[in-house]
Amino acid sequence: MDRYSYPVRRMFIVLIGVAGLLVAIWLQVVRWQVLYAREQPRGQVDADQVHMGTIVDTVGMPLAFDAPSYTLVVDKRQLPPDALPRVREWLISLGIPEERVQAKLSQNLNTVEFRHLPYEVAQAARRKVQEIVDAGDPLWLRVDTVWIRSFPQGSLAAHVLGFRNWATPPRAYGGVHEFYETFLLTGEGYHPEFAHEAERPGGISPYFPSPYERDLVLTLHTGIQYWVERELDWAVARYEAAGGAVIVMDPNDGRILAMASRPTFDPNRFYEASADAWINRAISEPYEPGSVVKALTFAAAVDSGTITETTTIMDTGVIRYGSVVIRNSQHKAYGRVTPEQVLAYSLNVPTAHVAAMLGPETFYRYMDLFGFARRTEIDLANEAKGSMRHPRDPTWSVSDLASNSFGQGMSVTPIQLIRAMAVLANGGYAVTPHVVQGYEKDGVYREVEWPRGARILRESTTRLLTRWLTAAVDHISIPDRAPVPVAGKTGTAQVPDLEHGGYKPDAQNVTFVGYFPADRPQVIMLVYLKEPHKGPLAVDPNYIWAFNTAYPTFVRIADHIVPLLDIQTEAR
Amino acid sequence: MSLKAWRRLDWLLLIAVVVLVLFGAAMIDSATIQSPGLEGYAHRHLIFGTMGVVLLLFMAAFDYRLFGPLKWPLYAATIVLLLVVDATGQVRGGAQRWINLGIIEVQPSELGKGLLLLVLSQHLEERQDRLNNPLTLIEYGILLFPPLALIYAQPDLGTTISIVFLAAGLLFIAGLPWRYIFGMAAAGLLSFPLIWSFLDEYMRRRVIVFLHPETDPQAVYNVKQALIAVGSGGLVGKGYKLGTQSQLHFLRVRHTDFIFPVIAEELGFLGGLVLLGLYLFVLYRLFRISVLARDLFGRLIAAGVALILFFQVFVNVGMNVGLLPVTGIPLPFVSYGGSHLVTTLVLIGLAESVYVYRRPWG
Repeated sequence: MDRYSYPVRRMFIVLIGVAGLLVAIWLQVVRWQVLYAREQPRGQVDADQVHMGTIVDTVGMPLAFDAPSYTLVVDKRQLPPDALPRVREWLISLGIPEERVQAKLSQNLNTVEFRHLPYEVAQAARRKVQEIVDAGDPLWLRVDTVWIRSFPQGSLAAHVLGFRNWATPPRAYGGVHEFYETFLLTGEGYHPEFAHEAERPGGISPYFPSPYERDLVLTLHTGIQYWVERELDWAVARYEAAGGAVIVMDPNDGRILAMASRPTFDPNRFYEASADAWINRAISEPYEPGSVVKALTFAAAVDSGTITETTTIMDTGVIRYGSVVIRNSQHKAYGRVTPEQVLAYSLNVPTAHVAAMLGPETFYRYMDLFGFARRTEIDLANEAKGSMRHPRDPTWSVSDLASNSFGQGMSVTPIQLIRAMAVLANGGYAVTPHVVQGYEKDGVYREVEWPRGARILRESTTRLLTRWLTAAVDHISIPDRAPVPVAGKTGTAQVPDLEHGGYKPDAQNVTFVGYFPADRPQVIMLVYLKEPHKGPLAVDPNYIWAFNTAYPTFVRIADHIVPLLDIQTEAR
Repeated sequence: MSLKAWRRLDWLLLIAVVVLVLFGAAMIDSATIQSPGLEGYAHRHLIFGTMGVVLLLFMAAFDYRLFGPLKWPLYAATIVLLLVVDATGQVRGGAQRWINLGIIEVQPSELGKGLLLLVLSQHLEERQDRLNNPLTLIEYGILLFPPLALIYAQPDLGTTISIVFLAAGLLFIAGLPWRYIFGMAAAGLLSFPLIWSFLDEYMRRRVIVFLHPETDPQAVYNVKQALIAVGSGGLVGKGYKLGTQSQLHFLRVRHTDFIFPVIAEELGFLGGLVLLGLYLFVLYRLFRISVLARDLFGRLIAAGVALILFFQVFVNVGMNVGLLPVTGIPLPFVSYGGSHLVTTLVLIGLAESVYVYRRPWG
């Protein structure tokens, strides 16, 4: 074969293609370097020393501010070779752990840094610097002050706050810190046209307003957040869950009163946690919600006039959609049942039947209105979208309609689910979940006017659903009851097995969403436990359902919220 | 190896590769200097590199055509290797499977890739006069299917895609008629919805996660930090061992898959340019060997090695600048990882052998 026959021409084509792609990717590197250089106001200010505004909760309790931290810098080039042991002894005498001193000094670097030292150590080192200067020796020691982000409440609300790393310049990751990074650093990027002047919460405190005049006031209620964190810890340990999340929200305007996720971390020591602990499971990790969605299926059915209060549905105990067989979770058939009974016994078959009566077009129209597979636009970084197939998608099938009607075969984030359920609690409106209540800027405090969304359901629909959901909670067969009447729905969902396909045989995610007081809802709360492995019954630890894990956790938290918010009810 | 063989070696290729390995060791030293528990990784990189270069020269001394008649035993070895992994391998750091050989852990899908390259090249060599025949294509597909299925089952979507890329590249270079190329592309596009509907739910989900990395929040942090590191490097970088993103541990797995940001941050635009230039040079030398090869078998081996290297560089750098999703594909010669380094160097040795035996000995 001739050397330059056509396979060789082919090779030139490949070489050109390969070189072209490499150049393209290299151009992307360049583009990023140019863009980044333009973004950073280099040279103007030392980016390390740009202060972030303070973050406080709804009553002015400080949650994050910049605090000084001290660094000792030892310049080994300035030291005579025999002086190192003496310097080592001196550093240990300051209280720096011996291993750390040893490890740092043995590094093959000209200058050695000891970071994040307390004030007293910095003072002692400053005296040493004075001694060196007085003696006229080469200056081998320096004390630097850097400002680092400090979180006085430790891991409290860690996922809402996010953190700021110690890079140069530091970068924010997660939560409010990442979402509002520009505002907190520069005071830019806010919208005064959607805010009005208001009185500062908590009066004047040493932390707020900060001297930098770019502070945020959150809707978080530290008192509620504390109990949420504590009871969630209890639940994760008690039921041996792999993780979990709790959201407490005002259903009428979407204010987040508390939000917690497990596993958690301390933002002061973010580097000690695994990246998995930084994930806010309340907004970033979609999962299959299970039967909670039944409440929304019935809301759609009532609102569209497909069923009424007096409609009864035949429960055959089993129904077949194509290749998919749907059964009730207890593998029983109940005969003719009312919607109230369907929700109380959480029956899959009649729910799928109702969805079929609604038809895919109406069902998915309502699910879109409830906001599934769309971000809620909460003001926190890294919100996930979840997924739900539509009839217009090529992969959709009728069995999807059936399984979606009771919350399987779709994935949602807890924030999407609580927002959808809030529509039932507030008389039919979509709200925008949010964590920022207002901001301090140029000596003025302004409160943000978060928009109330469109009406999604008729008020009469929400009243009927609330009645049914109150009955559903009353029906729960364990004695735990909140101090005020609760309307809510449990969800025990199978967990998809991403390794082997299908669902995991012995795992479930449990969720309870409820709002109270049922007659005039002021609080809506979601409790989600990821794959709990131990139920409350000693005789049968595998008996794990939302009603005996997520619901008791809900009640424990509600017990604390009711007195904290002084919630009254007319019903009892 | 006789003196003649030494003279016939492609020294420029060998030198470029050795420079890349040394560069890698220096950057690993910088990436791990502040990390207790990671001491000595640069050292070990050099030891593995030396081992690899010895094996490279050993491979170069062998006439690559000896592998031709061994097509079926090599194919059987590939299958057995992958079966053993599926049965006994350990999953670590994502889903790449490893075999523990006691002394050293081997990542067999790498080795499998090299063996498969030999098998496919020899097969195309045998069929080169029948590339017009659709049966040849079908045969090729049947040959490819079992190893692909085994690797996909590991599960290792990254390697699966890289093998499909390699197999397609070899077909193209072997001289598959254009009408088949267009036909296959069209058939692939048309059958996609059909394949999609046949996929299990979890497979679809995996593809979706592959296409939308933001659904994996852990990956998001590293990519963000990588972009910051790459961006903050500027023209000449912050200086060797002085990058803050890397030295202060904002990057995770920075001595392996995320070593490129360390380079971009500490050595800047120019450092990245030098690195990519070296890769481009290595690829050029490999394609040159491919053009000079005495037969189609050698031509495809050299080109296949180039394609494997190119895929790794492209995917790794692409992931680090946020163009491609996060997959556990290392930067060849530079990332830390003993078995990967040795395997890649052996592949270079194979290409060198094609060069050494390019013409009958005179």
